Amino acid sequence: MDKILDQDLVGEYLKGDEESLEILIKRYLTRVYNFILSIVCDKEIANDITQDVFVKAWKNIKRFKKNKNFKTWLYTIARNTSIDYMRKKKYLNFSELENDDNENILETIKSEELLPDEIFEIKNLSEILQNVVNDLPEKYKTVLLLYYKNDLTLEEISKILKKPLNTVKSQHRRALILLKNSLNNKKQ
Amino acid sequence: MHQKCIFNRINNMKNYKELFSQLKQEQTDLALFTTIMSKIDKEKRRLVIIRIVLFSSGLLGSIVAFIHVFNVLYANLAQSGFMSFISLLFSDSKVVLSNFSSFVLVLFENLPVTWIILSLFAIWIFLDLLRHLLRNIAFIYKYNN
Repeated sequence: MDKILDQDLVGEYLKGDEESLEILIKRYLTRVYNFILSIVCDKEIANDITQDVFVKAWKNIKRFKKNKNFKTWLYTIARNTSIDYMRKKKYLNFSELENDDNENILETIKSEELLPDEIFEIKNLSEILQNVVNDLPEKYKTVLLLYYKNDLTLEEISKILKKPLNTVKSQHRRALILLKNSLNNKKQ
Repeated sequence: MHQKCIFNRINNMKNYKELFSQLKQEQTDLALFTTIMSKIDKEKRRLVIIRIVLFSSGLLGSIVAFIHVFNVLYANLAQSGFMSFISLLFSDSKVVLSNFSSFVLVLFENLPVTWIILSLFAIWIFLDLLRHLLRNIAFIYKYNN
């Protein structure tokens, strides 16, 4: 089932094979849900937004171009829907969404600083990491999660975020620096 | 030990993937999938009902248009003498056959071409709308059963 390409499944669905749509939804449901959850940080809201995302994807599936990447397309819908929701509810700090490199804050971060061995002793690694990632500014968190958790390339992420590839590369680098810094702070 | 190993290599870029794999992944249940599918089904039905209403209105419009165009066509056929020439075919067929090429030419000259095209166009629209309407009705019927 996993061997069938997303684009082929879309094609099959458009030809009338209803099962192809189910396969596509099942394939991405958990990943998209977790991605949305990382943005909204609320299971109930993530549940609702996930439903909206797949309904939106279905509504627009005829407009999906076969030469495009389905995963990128779906994550773009997921991100936009989540951000729209957050904006409506005024949960989001808008400055985090702007294409702002925030140089002054980042200049203070020691990028070469290594993590000490002590931090490895922390038992609840997952929980701490979750907190650290959640505390990152939205734009950095999104890049990290899309890259490391959702197996998207930086090029695909740049398409989802509608930002130049170099900006995404720089955001990725800075996100890692911030992550290291936050982990160091946790240790102290 | 596993966690220790992950963090030991935290500064190495290739290990970030391993690090992020430590993040808790929430599992989705079947209920979410079922809800999405039922929402899509509901939306499908809503769109089909809208289409049925639109196609039905279009179909009624095309019937009215066809009746009007057909009446005008009939009046034009009578006015142009086309009908009289056709009746000649039955009343004086020998003369018609001896001058058949001239007869055909006269018939064509008297055809109200514009109105014939409009009539055919109205029929085509009617049939196309009917096809779409039946397809959508069949879809609703399939879903109800």
